Amino acid sequence: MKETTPIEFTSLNEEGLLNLSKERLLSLSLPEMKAIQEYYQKISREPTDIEMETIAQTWSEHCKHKTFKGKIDYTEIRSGRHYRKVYDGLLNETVIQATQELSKRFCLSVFEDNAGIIALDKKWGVAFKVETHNHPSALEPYGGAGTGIGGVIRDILGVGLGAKPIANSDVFCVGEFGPDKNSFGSAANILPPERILTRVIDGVRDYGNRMGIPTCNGAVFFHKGYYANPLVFCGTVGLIPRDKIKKKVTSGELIVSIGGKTGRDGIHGATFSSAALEENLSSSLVQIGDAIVEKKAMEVILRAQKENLVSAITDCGAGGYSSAVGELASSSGAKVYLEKVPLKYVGLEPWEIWLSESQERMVLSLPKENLERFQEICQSEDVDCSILGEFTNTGRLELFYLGQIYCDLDLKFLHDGIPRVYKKALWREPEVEPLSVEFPHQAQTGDILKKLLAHPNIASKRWVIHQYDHEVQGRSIVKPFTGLEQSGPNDATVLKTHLDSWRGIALSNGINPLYGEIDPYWMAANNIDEALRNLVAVGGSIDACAILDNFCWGDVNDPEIMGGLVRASLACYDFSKIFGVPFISGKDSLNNTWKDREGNLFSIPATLLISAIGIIKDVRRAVTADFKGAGNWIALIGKTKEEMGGSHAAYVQGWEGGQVPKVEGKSAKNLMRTLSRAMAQGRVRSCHDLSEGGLGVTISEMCIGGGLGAKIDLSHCQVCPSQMQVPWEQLFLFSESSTRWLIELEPKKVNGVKKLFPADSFLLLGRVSKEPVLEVKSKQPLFKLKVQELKKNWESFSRSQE
Amino acid sequence: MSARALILKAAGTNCDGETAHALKISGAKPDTLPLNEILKNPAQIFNYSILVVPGGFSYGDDIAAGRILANELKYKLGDTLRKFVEDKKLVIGICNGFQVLTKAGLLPEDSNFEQTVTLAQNISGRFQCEWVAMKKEKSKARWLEDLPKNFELPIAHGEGYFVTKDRKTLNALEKNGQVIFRYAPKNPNGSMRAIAGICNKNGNVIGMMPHPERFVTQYQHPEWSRRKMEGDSVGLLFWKAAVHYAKGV
Amino acid sequence: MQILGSMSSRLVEVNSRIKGSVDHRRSKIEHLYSALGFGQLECLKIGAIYRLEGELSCEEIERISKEILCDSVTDSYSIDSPLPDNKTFFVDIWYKKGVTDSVGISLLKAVKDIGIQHLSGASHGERILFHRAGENNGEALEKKVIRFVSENLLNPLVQECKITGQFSQ
Repeated sequence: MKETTPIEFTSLNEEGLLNLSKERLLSLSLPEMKAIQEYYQKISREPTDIEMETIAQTWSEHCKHKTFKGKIDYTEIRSGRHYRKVYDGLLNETVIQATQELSKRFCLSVFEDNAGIIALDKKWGVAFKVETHNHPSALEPYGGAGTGIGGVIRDILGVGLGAKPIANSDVFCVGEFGPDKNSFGSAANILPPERILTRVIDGVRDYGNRMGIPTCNGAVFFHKGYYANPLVFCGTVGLIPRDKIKKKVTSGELIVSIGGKTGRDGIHGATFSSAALEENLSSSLVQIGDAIVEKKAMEVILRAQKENLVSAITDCGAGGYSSAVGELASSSGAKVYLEKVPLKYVGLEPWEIWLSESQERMVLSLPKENLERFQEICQSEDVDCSILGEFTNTGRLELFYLGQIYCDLDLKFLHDGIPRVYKKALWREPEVEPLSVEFPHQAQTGDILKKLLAHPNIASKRWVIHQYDHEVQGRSIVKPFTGLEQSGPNDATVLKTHLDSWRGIALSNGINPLYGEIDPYWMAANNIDEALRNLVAVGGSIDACAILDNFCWGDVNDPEIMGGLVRASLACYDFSKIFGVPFISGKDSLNNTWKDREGNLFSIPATLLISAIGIIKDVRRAVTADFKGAGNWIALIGKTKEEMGGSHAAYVQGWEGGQVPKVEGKSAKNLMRTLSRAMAQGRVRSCHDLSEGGLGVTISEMCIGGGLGAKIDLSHCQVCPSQMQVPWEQLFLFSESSTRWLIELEPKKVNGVKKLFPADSFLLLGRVSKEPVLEVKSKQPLFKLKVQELKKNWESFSRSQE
Repeated sequence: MSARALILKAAGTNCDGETAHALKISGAKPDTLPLNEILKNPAQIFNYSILVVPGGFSYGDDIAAGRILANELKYKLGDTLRKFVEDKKLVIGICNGFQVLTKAGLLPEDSNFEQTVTLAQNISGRFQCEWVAMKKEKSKARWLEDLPKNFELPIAHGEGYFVTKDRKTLNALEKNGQVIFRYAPKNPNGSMRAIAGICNKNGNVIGMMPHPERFVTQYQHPEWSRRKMEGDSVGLLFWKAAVHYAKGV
Repeated sequence: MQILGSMSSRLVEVNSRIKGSVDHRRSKIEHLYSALGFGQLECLKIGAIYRLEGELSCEEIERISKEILCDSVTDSYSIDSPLPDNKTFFVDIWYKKGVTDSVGISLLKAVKDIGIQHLSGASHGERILFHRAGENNGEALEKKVIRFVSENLLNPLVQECKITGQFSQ
């Protein structure tokens, strides 16, 4: 180990260790630095720079999920009493445990590979992964979003022996538009939310469209708490033959890298993704992707998979080769010759080559006898391919540069040597303030509805969706927009998985940070409910479906913020179990915080994205959300309660207090199953779930989609508990109680469908009308609005963005 | 005997899968080959009676959509393509393929590869993916006769604004029956006279912005759940017509 | 490999001749400039700009411009174009060194395809031609424009701008 750059390390005191961690941007804590020091003291030598960087990167929050896998001392305060529980690995004891206990046969690969995989049929599996790319998107939204989507596509290319991407799903959370309401703008280098969102959309469009993968599902959520820290969730679905799910690296196989060249890009990206955003970050942290390089690499991977040429594959994400090779070699060993790496430009240090996060690179394990054929394929697709070294059986990671050894690490220590993180978490049960507001006069009910429809969170996202090629590959059956002239929204997207079969998948999601401000437990429950009821609304079933979790949280060193994370995780366990729907993959992005010029630390709202994927046996049975025929009956499925806490009506009206919607697990599950059955029998003409903005928004959207009107009468309706204050009609129209849908039924089918549901969960509200007017009355008329006017409000935000 | 179709694939081509499927269910035998493979032996093109340049972003559409691939075809495959066209075989360019054919000078002329029309950036300045209503024109591409007069197809492009170099070229296209499709009633991208697709003078080279390969079953139409639609979808009719023509060459 | 140094470098500017989305962007920039309180500025043209490096003959530069960079139907090009007059100035926006410029990389390939061998480097950017309207204090204007462009039209983390014109009194 001579002539490399040894670091004087084994003799450092605690202060020295911390200084070193800070100076080299290692983001390692004192116990971690000490564990490394102990290792080097034991082997009696100093570490090289490349070794230090490799360890720091492997042990980063991004790669190891230290918080979620660490020990958590949790205290819950309810009615003045303290309840304490210590979690030995929060993720394992909640999300993963639920999946294990459910032990669904259709789960083919969960929480082990780059994506979760469920069975599509006897021959095929579908892989699904959702990632976040938040901090880079805050600094350079175009490049950040593009490389975010590029990264998650590589996850799918790198699952098993390579899956074919067939759909993208993108969800963004950004600050509210308009003048900065919290004067966060004083922080330097912070782009305004308008610019962040526009450039994020540009980035997804340019990368996703070039890849030829339809971006067909998503959401945009505006909230002031995301001002300088937007969230960019990128998801990809892939198709994989079931006999290509397992990878196995054998000693003697070649370590091959294909795709992009290596530059000084994103050095320290892995450690950076969990560090607070501060000023003066160097620009090598953000990069611009090149979709065509990845597209070409994709063609090679899919051909190699078909011809059974590779025995393992993974993507270069955070940590670059260090992560990718380290992962593939974890149970074998590897020798890598860093001078073999093709570079974008000269002048990179060996450790930079090893840690660089340049985009569009994949690493695979190739049996020597397949090399020639593999190179042929690369040539025909015009893809760079280099042999970096070979896998060994020494259990060591050995790195060479021009004949000299630069790194010799025990892989067991590298992967398992990290000391456990210990965190404190605290949760105080929130005091529920009763909803006590001056309700506007009933005559204003229509105005509230119009305001809701125009709210950016509810309004049409047409300007975003039309920029994405959501039709490419020809799989799309239920599209983002539906109905007459494609003017109404759908709840979920349905795709054919194979062009020559009617089998398919549905994709949906659930996200609502407003509920989390009251109680992250019910936020998580509602998000799961929302993702599933969306899936049911297009013809999916909770019995053939799986979900993904993406936690984006603030400063988890704050016990109360950490307490919220525990609450949300517990709900994930509870509702995954109740619904019988397993988690198959997930990701967390913690410490989403930023500092302004004065040094004040802001945390984002606790955010959980639930993404659902369901198998659709016959896509021709799918149902869309637009009203189909005048004279058909409109029925409300589910129970409406006074649950205005965290609702959008409360948000736009400035109402305070109120109950956060609670999910009644068992009955929710039964309602979903019953509705799925009715839909599978072809008895439902249209279906739309109730979410932000409640019944009022849902019925408006169905009218807009159908170009038809509706007449509904609320005089027989009730809000539970029934002794609600007046005017209860506004509660009924705008409450966000979970597990509810509006369905459209042909008159002759009403009685049959009604019988399927419990009496308190099936309510006939009125009928679809030919005249495009939405007319709502109770004991007395409430409002009468032209569908054209509803549409104008609903589309106004999108128009302003075009 | 089934017609053989060659789908040309370059870096960034991305509609090759659905195009192959559409050809297959229309009775053709499609092969998809990367350009590098074709260049190894250009004469292999003559084994086919249909050549499709499919949609996508060839070479990222860097500089201008289709430009780099157009030059590559012109310089590396020019004579072969000219012969293929002279043999009255079918060349179909869709979306990016249309952009390539115009920039390679294969559309609307087929003599000396001079470019006289182009597809510029949409008037909106942005990429647009939506279903549009269109109408068929009476044209030299007689093989399209079986298509209905009015129909819908999806578009997905950022550069689809059809422009000719001068009025004379435009009038000549109209007069010669070289306009095959128009957007109607709404013109989504600003195209001159709402032109969505054109052909050469013999009708055997065509280019169009909309994607018929994305509408080969009625269930791909955005209104399938509210309209009764029977028979073959328009996209399928298009591909069947192409295969029928090719069988006769 | 992208070679960043230059032997000799030429700039080709390409502008669209037809009415289209560029006009919309021009007025947007003018509007933004005044809305943010910078004053009045006229945005005359927005076009693409390419830097070509290597030992290339004039004919080769012409061919590259004509056959690759410029669409003969809708565009016009000019090589190392001078400023129209001393009331106007260019702002060129480029990616910083080391940032992926995929258009530049594709251009290298495209030039080889048409049989030209000596292009050693290529990059792609955007050129905006401004007219100084009523503004007379050149140095103050230069500073203002750089600030406006850096804060609104580019991201300094990955891009930089170069301003060309007469600003000193």
